[in-house]
Amino acid sequence: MMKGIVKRFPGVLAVDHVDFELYPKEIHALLGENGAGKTTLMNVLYGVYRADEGQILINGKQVRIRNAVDAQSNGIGMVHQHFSLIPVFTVKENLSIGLRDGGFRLNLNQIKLKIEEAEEKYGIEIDIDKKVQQLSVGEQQRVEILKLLFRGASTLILDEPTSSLTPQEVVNLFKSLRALQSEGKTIVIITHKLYEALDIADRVTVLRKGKVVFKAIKEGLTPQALTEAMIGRSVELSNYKMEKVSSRNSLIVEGLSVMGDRNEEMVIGASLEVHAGEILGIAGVSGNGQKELIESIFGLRASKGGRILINGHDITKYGVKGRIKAGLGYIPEERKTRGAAISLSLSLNSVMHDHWGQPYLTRGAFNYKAIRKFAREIISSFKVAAKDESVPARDLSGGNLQKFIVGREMMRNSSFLMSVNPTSGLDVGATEYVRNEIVSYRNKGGGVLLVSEDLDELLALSDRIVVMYRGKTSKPVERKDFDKLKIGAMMLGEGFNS
Amino acid sequence: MNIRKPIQIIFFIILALLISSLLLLIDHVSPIAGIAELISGGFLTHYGLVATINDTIPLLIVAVAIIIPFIAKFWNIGGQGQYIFGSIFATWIGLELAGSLPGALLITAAIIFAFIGGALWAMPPTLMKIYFGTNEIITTLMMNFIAVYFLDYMTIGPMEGSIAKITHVPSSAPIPSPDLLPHIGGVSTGIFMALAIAVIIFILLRYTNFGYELKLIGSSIDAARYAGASLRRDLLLSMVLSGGIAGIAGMIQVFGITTVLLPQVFSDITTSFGYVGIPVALVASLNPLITIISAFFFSGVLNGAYAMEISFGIPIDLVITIYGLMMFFAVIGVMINLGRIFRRSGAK
Amino acid sequence: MSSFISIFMLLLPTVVLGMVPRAAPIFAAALGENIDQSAGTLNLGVEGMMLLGTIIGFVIDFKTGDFVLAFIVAGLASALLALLHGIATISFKVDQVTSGTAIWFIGWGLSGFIYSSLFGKASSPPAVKTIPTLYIPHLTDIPYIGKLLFGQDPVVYALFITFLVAQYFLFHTKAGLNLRTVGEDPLVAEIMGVNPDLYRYFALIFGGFMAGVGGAYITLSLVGSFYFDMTAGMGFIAVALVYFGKWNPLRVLIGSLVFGAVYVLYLALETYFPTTPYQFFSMFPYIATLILIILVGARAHAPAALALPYIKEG
Repeated sequence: MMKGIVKRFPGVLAVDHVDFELYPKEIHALLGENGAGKTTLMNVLYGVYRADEGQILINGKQVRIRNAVDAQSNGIGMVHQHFSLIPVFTVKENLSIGLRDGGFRLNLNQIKLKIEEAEEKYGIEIDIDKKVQQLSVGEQQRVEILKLLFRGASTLILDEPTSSLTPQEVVNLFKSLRALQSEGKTIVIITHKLYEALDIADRVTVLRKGKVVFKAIKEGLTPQALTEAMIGRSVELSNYKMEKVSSRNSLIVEGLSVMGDRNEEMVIGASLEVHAGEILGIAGVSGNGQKELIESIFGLRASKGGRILINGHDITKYGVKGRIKAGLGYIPEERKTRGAAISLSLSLNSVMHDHWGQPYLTRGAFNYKAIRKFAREIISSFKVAAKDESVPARDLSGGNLQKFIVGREMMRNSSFLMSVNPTSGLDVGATEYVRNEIVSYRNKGGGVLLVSEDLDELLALSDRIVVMYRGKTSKPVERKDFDKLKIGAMMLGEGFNS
Repeated sequence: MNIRKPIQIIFFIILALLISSLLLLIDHVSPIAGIAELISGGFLTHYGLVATINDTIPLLIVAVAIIIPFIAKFWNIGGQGQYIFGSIFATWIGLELAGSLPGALLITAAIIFAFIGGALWAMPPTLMKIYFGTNEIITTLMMNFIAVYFLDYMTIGPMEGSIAKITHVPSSAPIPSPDLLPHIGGVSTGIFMALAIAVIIFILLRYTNFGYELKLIGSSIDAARYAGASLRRDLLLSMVLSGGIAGIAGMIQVFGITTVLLPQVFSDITTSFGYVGIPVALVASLNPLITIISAFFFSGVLNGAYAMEISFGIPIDLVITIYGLMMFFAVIGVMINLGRIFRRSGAK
Repeated sequence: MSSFISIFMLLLPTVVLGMVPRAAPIFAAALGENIDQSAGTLNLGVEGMMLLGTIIGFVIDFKTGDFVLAFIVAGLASALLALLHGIATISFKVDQVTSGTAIWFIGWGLSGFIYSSLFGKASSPPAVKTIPTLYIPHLTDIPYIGKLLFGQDPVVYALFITFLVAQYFLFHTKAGLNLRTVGEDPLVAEIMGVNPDLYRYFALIFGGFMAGVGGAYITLSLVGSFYFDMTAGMGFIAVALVYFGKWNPLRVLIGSLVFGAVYVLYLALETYFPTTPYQFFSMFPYIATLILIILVGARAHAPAALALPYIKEG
């Protein structure tokens, strides 16, 4: 169906002469590492990007897809990783955006009836009078799917649909995808998890570095063959060298309670302990208080009860600056709005956590020579692709900016590092680099508090895992007891007293 | 530094002047003659140049003042009100202490009082922002209007001078001449204070932690908090400085040029340095040193517009539109990539 | 205290009857600004657009005597300024505060420049007949509310109809939902087949037109002649009213009426307290704005994409 597609971005050939066929009523997995070009390819099909070369054929007829509307009128719908939903609108309002038929008036009652019809037909249950921001991630995903079906999509493209779902929710999602298939829908799943592809797909296409390297039907496929196709060599994914470092230093959180943005208690008496030389993972479905917990430990959010100690030293009353000085580092998920001031140069960004003292501030004045030197050190030690230290941070790609931030936080003399989804959106090279750096920070005796929505990442990197559910923390699970399904169940509340 | 942007901005400012000159056709004046008169009246004649430098003084100080919070994207549009309160406070202390202090000491006292007056007037919007999250553009602007009425009241009421009581032209009593700022060849020595302020603020913004934190806040509030900046302290300090410095501009104007406190009319651009400071600062890309040039240029355009009014009867209000157009085109000049457009059309 | 209350009771009819025309220009501008902001564009140039409306409306009425034409041309002139703001902010992604300030200056200067160019600085300003009140027979005779509801000029009625249309448009039409989507997240709008730029241009031009009409109302209905900077910050008060109204035209209307009352009240109080300096009464609307904006604070949900340029990738 897609023939010879080429898409270039400045300096990158994202999709390189790709042919991609899709048959009616199949579930097709588009597999590949992060950055392999899967999402870009599907965005071309969905009209978000325009291909530089190549053509799209539907039932043998060439079609032009210039935007999402063209795609939708050809029966193609796509659910992106970041949902295209307005949080403050109700579900039915979200489903009504951009509707063309049925006159000028917005008749929500009539639309409601139609939506309910669709809900019944496809077996999707959502309270459509609720605002989207009141729904869980899984529910929002169902809203997105419903929205596409409601617009008459016959082909659904789902971009990493399982990335923020618990294993149990994944099971439910796959169940409803099969139901949709039996209703006659064609489904594409973009994923980097090969077991998922093997689980759900009828056929698999593997992309690597923008090229198709492998196509097959599911029968007779082995995980090894797929892994080799994806990565180009057979490697074990979790070969991080783990050395136990013994130390009595620790970051301790005791009975911490924190309020969320909507004035409800998001963290309820959470307790955990990160030792120097270990990685403590925090698992949980997003929105269960992880964000508030981390922000509160760093001093960005006031706590309303509990204590935080670094090496026995109570820092609960300190501001952000005091906590940084006490040895805390933080690699936020929001690279462009929190981790860096993107309109400022890399030099200025390099001292975000050191701008109040020697050697960068001498006798009250900024020492630009020392600052530039530090920025250059980060750039060279952490292999950041940047022209020099004077370019604004916004000129860096996501992966390079993340490397820069990781480098900054690690080259400072911090003893504990918090990191939230450190590899989200990074390509395979950057992902591996960042993970290796986190492990080597630990091996040098640093303590890491790692929050990730990617359970596989946590299982690969953590020494112990604590699960968060509705603001509460579980007892830590030791590495020898790691069990994906068991932790998945805990993420859904098993073992938590409600 | 990239040379392309400044050249583009200058190109667009010239474009703005050319477009403005077309408006002269409404008054049946040739645009070319008008522009020529504007340039010579503002920059080339002796009288015009002296007036231009004298008007540069308050303009430069106010523009530099508002740059400080602007860096943090806190839009202090209230320079005019802060300027007015500085002038009220300075005039009051000047008249109160006249004769009892030597001139230099009295001028120092006036500067301090002007700073306090301007800073105080900047506080309500700042505190409202900190405690209620109100939009500072609206609050600082409202404070301007309130200040104008208060000034009006002072010059007709409590501070009305004895001459004004007879002539019914509202103004305060004059500051005695020994206490005024001296002039050199017609130019007020306030110019040295203005230049010094510009340099000091440039250093402050570039080399201190405070300046760094303002830049962080301007880039992203979340990033600034992450970097341990104290937002409230920075905001408060930036507005104390901004209001205070704008207040000093008011003092220098009274002690250097007008010698009396005069009421203001909203629409009178020739006394609205607090408003004109906004385009002056923005066209200079919020750099205090470049602001010296842009303040001089804007001031020259103002005095050139005077000359056009005298020679051709062009209403002085035109200059406000010119300012608006210069600002409008300058910011487009920042955003646009002329080089690419030229290359693209050349390639075809 | 009791004397205050008695004065208040005495003033009540004046205030109630007078507040509608006083509220009209602010409401016109605020309604336009509401639509702007719902689509995610902050238009700070509304003060300049109102000022341009004051002079254009006045000139057209003065030359032709046709007040309907005057209002329309005034609206169109200001819509042209709004288009400039759109070109800068929508097409060139210029910061909306900066561009808005520039537009304010352009309109501000033009109003004085055009007036002085055409009429000179005459000592007795030229005047036009203010637009007639449209008394609706019999209905005006209803006690208390008759004059209030049915004794206004035609522009007030037109404004009220515009308000009804805008309210319906924003919350009960598909295009209104699309417009609010653009204000929340232009990318989502684009994916759903809604052109964000188109909606933002439309909103801005509507907002500009309304600001021009509001400005013209001051010269043509309230005053009958032009003087410099006669809006005196009304445009900014209109922006404040949109915040107060939480992006709902109905609440904006209520806020505007409160403001109309404030204006009438201070004019009336001036005559009752001749010994109090008039300047303190003149400060009323600005102090009222400050109080109003404190009351709203930052707690309302603003359109999430307000004042953010929409920059497409790829």
